[in-house]
Amino acid sequence: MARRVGICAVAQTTWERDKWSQRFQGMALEVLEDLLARTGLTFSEDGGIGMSISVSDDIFDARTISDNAMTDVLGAHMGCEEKVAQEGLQALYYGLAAIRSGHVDVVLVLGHCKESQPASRNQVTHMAFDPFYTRPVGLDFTAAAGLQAQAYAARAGVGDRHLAQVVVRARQLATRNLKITGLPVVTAAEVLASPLLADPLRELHAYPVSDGAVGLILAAEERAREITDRPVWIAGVGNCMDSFFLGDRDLASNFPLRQAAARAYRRAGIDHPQNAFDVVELSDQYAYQQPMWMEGLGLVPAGGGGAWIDAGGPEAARVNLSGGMLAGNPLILGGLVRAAEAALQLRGEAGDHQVPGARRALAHGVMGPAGQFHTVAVLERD
Amino acid sequence: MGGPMRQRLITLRQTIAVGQRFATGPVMGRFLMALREKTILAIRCPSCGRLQSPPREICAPCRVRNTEWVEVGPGGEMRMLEYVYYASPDPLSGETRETPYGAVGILLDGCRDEEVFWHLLNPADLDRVRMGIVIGDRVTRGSRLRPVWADARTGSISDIRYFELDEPPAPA
Repeated sequence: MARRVGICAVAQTTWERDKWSQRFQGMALEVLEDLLARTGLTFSEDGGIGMSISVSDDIFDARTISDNAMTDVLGAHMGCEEKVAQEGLQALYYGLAAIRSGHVDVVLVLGHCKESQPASRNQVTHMAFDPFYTRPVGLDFTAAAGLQAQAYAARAGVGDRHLAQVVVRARQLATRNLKITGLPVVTAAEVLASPLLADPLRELHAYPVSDGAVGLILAAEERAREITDRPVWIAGVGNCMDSFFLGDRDLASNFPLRQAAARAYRRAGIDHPQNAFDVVELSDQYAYQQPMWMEGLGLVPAGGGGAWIDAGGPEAARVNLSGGMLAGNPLILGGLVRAAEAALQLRGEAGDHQVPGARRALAHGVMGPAGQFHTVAVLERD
Repeated sequence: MGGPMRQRLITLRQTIAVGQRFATGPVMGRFLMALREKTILAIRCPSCGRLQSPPREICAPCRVRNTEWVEVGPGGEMRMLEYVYYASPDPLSGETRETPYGAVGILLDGCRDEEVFWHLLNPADLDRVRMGIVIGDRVTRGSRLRPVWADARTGSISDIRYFELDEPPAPA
């Protein structure tokens, strides 16, 4: 039987539109010092942090091998240093594997991103496309999301009015999350009147440009119990990568998310996901993704996204009580922040948005154009 | 290879650019602001005492925040010199620096051991300098260098144009 792995502590900076006074090393250091203070851990070879995994993106950070800027900051000098350049929840998966294999007992995961640094984050995601075929025709993640929103909305009965409801709720919830600053509440009328970005996506449907850093401490069960009296167990993780070329995919099918979820549920021993979770934190980069990903996770019937919103589903299913990505986390960190928020709920530390007695949570991350790559993690407490 | 194959092979040229606006944070910011005033700063580790210039937030071996600021240089002793004979053009402007150029490691006054500051050497001094070498007890002093400051300083490493030789010419 492989070892269980627990999340022992989480820390995050505030999430702001423009942390102009900090470089990304400074943001990360703030999170690291918070984690060390919470756990009393050091980087000692004898029982300390045995592996540091950074999450960063070369193009956002404007340098190749972006972790080179982070090694010193993450205490990884002369140590075991790894980098995840994709979605942050993958780093949790990576740390899980390192601990379950028996190679290390304690892992630091720390991600940072400054979406304010490039002239536009659309320029960064444009770079993710094929330089010869799809960049020249103007694709980036926003345009790809527009294509997916069109394909999905018709199939699921999700209209402009539903999307406005999703955004209004996210902005209201954000006022209860102390880590979100400077994000105004909006009315449905304001959302409905906000300019189109890529039909049917409106400006207020998109997650706000954000800067910040987030970190977790993972440990093998016996160490986790020494570090904290409220470890959060990683019960199962699954992921799935769909085709890179949009033309190869049915954008409304949710195929990769259904696969990722099925893998995570199987590993966590969950046969009936519909009623399995007290809290769901999913990466809604654009408003249409909240109902769409719920369908993909099997928590809402396929094609039932519009009806789910009409029936007050997001509140009933306790989806993104933190505000979700629509309250502002940068692209590569969405899933890692979701895991952190889910862990806070299970530890009873979610403050004004705490779900009393929450025992099991789902955290979801997504990367690539139009939901190309999904990761699903099931978290539980004793 | 015959004609038909050549007709199917072409190459594609692109220039890739994403505009950036970098924050300095308080440590890098203080160092760069000092360069505007023709001052070179280093930062000292409170644990091991080593100096870093340019200053970084952390002493990596000690895993602690650096705290104490000290002024170093501006002159120092040349420890390393690399003659570089090729020049990579700036991808956006197409401009190249003159070659050969000298990348120098300078032990600024107040620094010791590996606390070396990296900059450019005055091209006119390329053949007139000598490196400082320490092999056990055998110490060869390197040439004395001093910074040549830019007239318009903006808070960047280029506020120092380069370092130049700062000692009398060798006797004939």
